[in-house]
Amino acid sequence: MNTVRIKFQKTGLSIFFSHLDLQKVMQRALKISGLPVWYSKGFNPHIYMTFTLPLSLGHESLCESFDFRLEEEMTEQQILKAMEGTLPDGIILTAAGAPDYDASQIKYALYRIKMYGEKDRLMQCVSHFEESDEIIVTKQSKKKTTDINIKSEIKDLKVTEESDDSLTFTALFPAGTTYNLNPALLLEYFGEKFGVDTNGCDVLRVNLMDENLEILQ
Amino acid sequence: MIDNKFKSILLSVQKPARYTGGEPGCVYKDKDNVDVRFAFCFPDTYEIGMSHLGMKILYDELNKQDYIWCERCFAPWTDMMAKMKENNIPLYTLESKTPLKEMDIVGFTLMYELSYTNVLAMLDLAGIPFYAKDRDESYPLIIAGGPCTCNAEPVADFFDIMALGEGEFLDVEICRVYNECKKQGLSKLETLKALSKIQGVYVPSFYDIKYKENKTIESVTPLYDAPVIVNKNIVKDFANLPFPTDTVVPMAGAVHNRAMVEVLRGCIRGCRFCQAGFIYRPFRERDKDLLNSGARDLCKNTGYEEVSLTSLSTSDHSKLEDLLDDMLPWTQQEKVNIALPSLRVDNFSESLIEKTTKIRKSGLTLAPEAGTQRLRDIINKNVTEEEIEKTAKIAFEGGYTHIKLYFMMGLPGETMEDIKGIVDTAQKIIDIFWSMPNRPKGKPEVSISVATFIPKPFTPFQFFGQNDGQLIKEKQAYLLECAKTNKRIKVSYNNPEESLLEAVLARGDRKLAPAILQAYQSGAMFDSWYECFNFDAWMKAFADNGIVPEFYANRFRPYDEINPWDHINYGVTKKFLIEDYERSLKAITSKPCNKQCYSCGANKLLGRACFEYSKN
Ligand code: SF4
Repeated sequence: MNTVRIKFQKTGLSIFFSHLDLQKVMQRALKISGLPVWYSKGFNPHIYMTFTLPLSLGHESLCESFDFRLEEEMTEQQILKAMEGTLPDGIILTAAGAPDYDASQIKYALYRIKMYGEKDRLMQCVSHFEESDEIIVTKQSKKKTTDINIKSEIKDLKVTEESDDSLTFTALFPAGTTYNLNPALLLEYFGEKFGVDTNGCDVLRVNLMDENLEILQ
Repeated sequence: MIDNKFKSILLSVQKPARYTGGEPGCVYKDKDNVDVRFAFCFPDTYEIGMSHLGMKILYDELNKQDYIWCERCFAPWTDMMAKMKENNIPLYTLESKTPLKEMDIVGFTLMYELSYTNVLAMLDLAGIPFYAKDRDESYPLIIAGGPCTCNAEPVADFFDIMALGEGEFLDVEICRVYNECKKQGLSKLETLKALSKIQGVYVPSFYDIKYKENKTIESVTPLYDAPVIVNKNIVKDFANLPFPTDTVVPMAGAVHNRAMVEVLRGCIRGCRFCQAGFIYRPFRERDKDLLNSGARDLCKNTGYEEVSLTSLSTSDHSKLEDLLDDMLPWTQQEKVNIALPSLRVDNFSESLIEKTTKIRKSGLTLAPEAGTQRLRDIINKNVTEEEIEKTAKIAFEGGYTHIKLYFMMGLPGETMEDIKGIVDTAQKIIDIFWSMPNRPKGKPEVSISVATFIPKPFTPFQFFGQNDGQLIKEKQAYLLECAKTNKRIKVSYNNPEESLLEAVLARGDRKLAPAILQAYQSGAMFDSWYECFNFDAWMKAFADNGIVPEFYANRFRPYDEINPWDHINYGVTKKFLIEDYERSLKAITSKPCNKQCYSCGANKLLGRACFEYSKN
């Protein structure tokens, strides 16, 4: 039995599936693929499957992955071939092989975010972010809501592209199994303060990094 | 396909995946290479529509034709509907996101009467006029199918045609003829005339209906050579009818998200309250080898972990146990559960339960329907007390502890004794549990779910007046009173107001159309959803349009009255329905079709006897 990590992109229409939907999609895809997937024993056998880092509904990603187990050794090509045609539009598999890093190594995620609207307003968002000492947002967890200052948590915010009706920036957000900052919180803040259409933004998770800002691939 | 503005809207509503399509198994075609574009509309949510087997079958059947592209469309939930209106987004198909208005044919499947307002909501959202008479050639043909078309007279004025009966070949034939008319550039009227020649096609506007002063129907006159009686269409060789082995797998949790295989069509039982049991006649079963291989392919192609053997009464398939024997090896190997959703109390054998419980154990449902033997005889639910007890015993021995019982109230001939009988039946099952030395661990639980009986067209009870709301409330209160003593019995029942509305619509006529439209316009939608049901809007719409609900729901209908559905033939004759109703009044049961034929008329559709009786 060996653990396999499948890497995939979640783009296009597939961004509207929740994490729960995605789990079911992958489970079914593995079943259709006919791969010798390992099932847990017991009365209700199921496929053992873990996702590296859940992605929010509505966000695209180039660096998603999940692990499962195979009962036999198989090559990357064999796995990808078997999975062909089993997935909904927008989910693209990019690699399959032994897991190369542990989820606990993840400390940051690089996001590329495109906001739409009047140029001045979008610029204001960025300059406000740069000039403020504090950006206070309300974070909701299962039980309580807490106010946090995200200014110090977000690193390397850089504008990469501007046009008359859009602005694109990249930034590093804390991510990982112990602490996560959803970029939507920043966009909601921009929404409240400057009227940016939060839901209309394109949010793309580009890659994951460890504490030394080395890209985890 | 999805721009920023639209994306923003999708992300602001619940479960956006309902509105995006893109699931595995979706069919895409090049719109320039097809002649007929068909929007298959289900007037309820994505989750409900995608659980519906009929839709999967017809999607498959239509898309097999190169010249047809069938796409799906569901009723957007109220949040999405509001957003679409606000932003002028017309209702679109999921596959290509094409506005419904641009389709050739828009077909609605009418599964239940309480979805009628959703049809109007969808037309509205599509920018398509409600009434057929207000739509010229520039609009798609609006058609209806599904069980309600056996009497969809209340919404008849909204549809150009209705497809009566089984859709497999009928829908394709409608598309074929439509396409020919379109190529010849025929007018809408000429197209409708051509379509009316197909068996199973009903063109409501071709029937002129006159009413008497007492509001009952005086006459129904066909126009343009339309048939006097419209026959439903059936698939004669159901035994060898292939079924889809690859279907769209819904993403956002469908209610029944599993592979479904229809093992038989029709029902031999003749329960007098059950419309499905009569309108799907005659009984036909699918070949067991076809079922086995098809089920296996379906599971392989869709990755489903459960396959459900569906029908009105699955255990009536003559080869069911053989079929299960054939299915068990591969389902176990491929870790697929087999579900038998419609087991009957009276032929629920030990070996059958063993075969299903080998795989999965959960609650068990039984439907005695009435609480006493006398009433069960009246409704022809041929189940005895011993059988119920025996089944409960087998179930408990099989490890089940939770049994759900389905009953009805407001049945013809019902007394308060019968209501008490419901609780007595549940109590007996609990007593059986405690009396068993080999009972499973834990405590037993019996849930009784009691629905208000709604008389439906084409059943022997189509003549019967529904109990009025006051009487139903009294019966419900008495039921609760009886059940108070035992904590292990849980009681639930439905809202009598909803049942009244359903009764009006089920046996309604064309005079209801303006009231339905007004109800929709004043906010009625998703009427079968508890949180949306707006009884006041309905009552006001009825009152404003001179509709007296009791006229439709609570009145006994004399045998010689012309019913709104009398010019439609679903197989069973009125003569048979009268005879069977008379039998019920004397509490005389009718035997299942495979034991005795009562000449109901359904065999005429088949062109031969339903069963070979010499063998029995
Ligand atoms: S014709 Fe006879 S056997 Fe056939 S459905 Fe009617 S009653 Fe049953």
